[in-house]
Amino acid sequence: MAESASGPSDKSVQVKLVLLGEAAVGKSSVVLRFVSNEFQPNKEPTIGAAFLTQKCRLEDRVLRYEIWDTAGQERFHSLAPMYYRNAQAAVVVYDVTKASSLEKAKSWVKELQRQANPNIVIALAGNKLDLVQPKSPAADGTSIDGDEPDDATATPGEAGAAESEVPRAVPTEEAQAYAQEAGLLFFETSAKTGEGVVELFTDIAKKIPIEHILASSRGAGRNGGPSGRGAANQQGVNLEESAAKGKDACNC
Amino acid sequence: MDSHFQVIILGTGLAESIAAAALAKVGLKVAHIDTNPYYGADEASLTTKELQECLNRATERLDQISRLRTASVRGEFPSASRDYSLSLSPSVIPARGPLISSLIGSGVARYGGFKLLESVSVYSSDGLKSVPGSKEEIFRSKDLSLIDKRKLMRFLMFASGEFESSSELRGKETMDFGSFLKEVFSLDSQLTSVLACALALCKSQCDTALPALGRIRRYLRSAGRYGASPFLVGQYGGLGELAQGFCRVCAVSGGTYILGRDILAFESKSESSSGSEETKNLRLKLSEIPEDLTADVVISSINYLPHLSNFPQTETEVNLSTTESHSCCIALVDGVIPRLSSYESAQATENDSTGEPVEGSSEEIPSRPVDAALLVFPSGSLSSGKASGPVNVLINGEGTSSCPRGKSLLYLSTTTQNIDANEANNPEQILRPYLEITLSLLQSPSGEPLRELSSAFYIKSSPTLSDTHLASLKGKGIFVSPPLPEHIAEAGDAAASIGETLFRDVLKQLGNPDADDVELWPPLPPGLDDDDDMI
Ligand SMILES: Nc1nc2c(ncn2[C@@H]2O[C@H](COP(=O)(O)OP(=O)(O)OP(=O)(O)O)[C@@H](O)[C@H]2O)c(=O)[nH]1
Ligand SMILES: [Mg+2]
Repeated sequence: MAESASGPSDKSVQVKLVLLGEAAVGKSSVVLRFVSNEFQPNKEPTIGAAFLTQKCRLEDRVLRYEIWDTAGQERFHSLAPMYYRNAQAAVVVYDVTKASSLEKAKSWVKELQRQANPNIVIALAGNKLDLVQPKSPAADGTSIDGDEPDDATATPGEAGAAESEVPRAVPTEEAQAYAQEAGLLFFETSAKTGEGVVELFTDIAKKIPIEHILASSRGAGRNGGPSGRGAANQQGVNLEESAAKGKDACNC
Repeated sequence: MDSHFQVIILGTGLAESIAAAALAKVGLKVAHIDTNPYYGADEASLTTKELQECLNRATERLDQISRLRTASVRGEFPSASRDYSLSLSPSVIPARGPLISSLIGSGVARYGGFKLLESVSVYSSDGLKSVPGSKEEIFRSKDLSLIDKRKLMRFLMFASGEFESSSELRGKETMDFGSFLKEVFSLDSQLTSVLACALALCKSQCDTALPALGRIRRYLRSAGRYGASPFLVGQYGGLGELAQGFCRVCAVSGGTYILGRDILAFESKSESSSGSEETKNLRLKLSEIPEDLTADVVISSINYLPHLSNFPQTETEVNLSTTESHSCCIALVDGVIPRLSSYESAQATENDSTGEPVEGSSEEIPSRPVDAALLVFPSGSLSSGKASGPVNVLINGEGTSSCPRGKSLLYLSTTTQNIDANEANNPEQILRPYLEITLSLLQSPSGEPLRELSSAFYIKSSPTLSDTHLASLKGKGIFVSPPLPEHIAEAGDAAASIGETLFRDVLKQLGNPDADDVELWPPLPPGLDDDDDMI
């Protein structure tokens, strides 16, 4: 849009992204791979942080993801509306070795279409791809559990040690066809090897209507249209900032 | 699911949610349960559909775990249900106080957006007057005579100081606040009523001096922290959204959330063997959850107590008495309410934090719509009105993200002693005249008329429980979270204080000897979510 000069042009555009998917499909692991380029074989459920941020550089722009993990609130279908609020992107994760997780993913997509901002960019991610790939020795050089053999055997991918690995339960074509029909981006990923993870977040970034977000954060459109938390804060009060400045600490 | 928890919390009201977050953060295993399908309990922020369902249940008195009663609805609620976040506990938050501290300490401040309350205005038969909130504003005021200014200045000096030990107050602590102002500061009845209703936000004419002065001092000290206004308004319906934020903090620390299930059974085993302490002494059965949940300690919102006592195993007779009730109205309005003269305009508007062009420093800023403002009808100020105490009207515009563009919300409330569900003093009859006059007063002279789209009226009761009851429940490991005070500026801070008390009580009960010294919010991990690495 034309008014780029007046805005806080040094700041990257903030994009709220939410994760959804059945328990243990690897939601937190995918984020951890994207944000810290790590993988923890025995990742505890939930992630311990309110949200993680990660910049994503495209050819012509930088955007800053604010990534919200479900923190287990989805388990009894008790996600708060706040979770969906102002989310411009969502990654719905399933496990390629578990057919029921795709069904669950479909129901989350429906839920998003019902609850979330209508312009939300949704990506479907079939995770744990490493488990169904023939284990070529060179393939997963990035996250070698090799130096900690104990961990390696404790991994859910322990079948991997037996080479025959876990059978694929969701064919790529099936998930892809569903994604196409529902208008979703589609990737197969492995949080363990990192395959597809950066691509997933980069492609989402490309599809996000940044101009729209910029325009609405600038002035008027606060409701309805996609406007991130960053945008809302620009017009409102930032409790932390002013609190830091306030020197007369008369805090109860 | 591993179904034993150290703490089960019943109710997702703000106080319980704050306790839940703090308890989970110190590493306790928490299950947080609400029988309603939404977060926030009596402080919830609801879509129009949720509000309607909630009020229907209140009217039919279906076994509902809530303090709402006697609801009536006029007009059709807009079908775009999610465009609205309607608050069951419309509130302003003092910029200094336990709630703001908890919001910052817990990190919940980062989830929510906040706006400054733009103004407090008082109704009188000659219209609306904005209330000076600071010494500067009193100087500037055109409505006050020089002599009144002096008296007011003297009073504000007094109220912002350490009045507890002053000779002016000695022996008059429990005097009603109005009489105190007249007697000690020789203020006339009009000023007295403005100070009592709009500065101290008294709920009735018989509010006593000491607490009223305490509120004024806190509000005076709140001014200037984030702007001229002492008060903030939370976006997306305020306290309900904040409750969701604290629940998320709890969940992120491993808390389990179960909403919308019925309680099928509750059992508290009375202390049998005095030897072993770690007994799973509380047991809860929920619909659609196959396993029973057990806990060492239960925190229960007062709303759940009558329900729990339905189960004979509890051996807990619960006798709630209702001392106070409140008539409430939520009105959805078609049309934009222009800004009233505000804190901002009374002070020379410097560094407008919005980043939008600052519209001069003129006194009137007619073009911008109201984000949030408060209007007070002092007792008896409206001849056609029958409210026995002051009536508060909280105005929310599009800027609070709680209604769509071009629409506004009005929240009316007033305290009513011992209200009955009978025709004569139902909430609609009490509040209707105030709603009508508010709509006509807020009308912008040039713009489209404000039109009431739909409105909901209901009663919110404030049950209490005797100390002996509370003690006997405590003996069983059940800690009761009392209802929040129905006070527009006090509910949030009270929730934070109650939440902290519950947190410490539970730690003590679980055998932590340092419970009083544990930090409510341990420092947030620095930089965890501020990773600037590029990918
Ligand atoms: N082999 C393999 N294992 C993975 C992958 N992603 C996650 N895991 C493992 O799967 C388990 C669950 O991963 P999480 O990231 O905790 O899954 P989640 O979806 O966040 O789970 P909840 O938070 O409990 O809902 C962990 O033991 C991970 O190490 C992957 O791509 N490949
Ligand atoms: Mg997780």
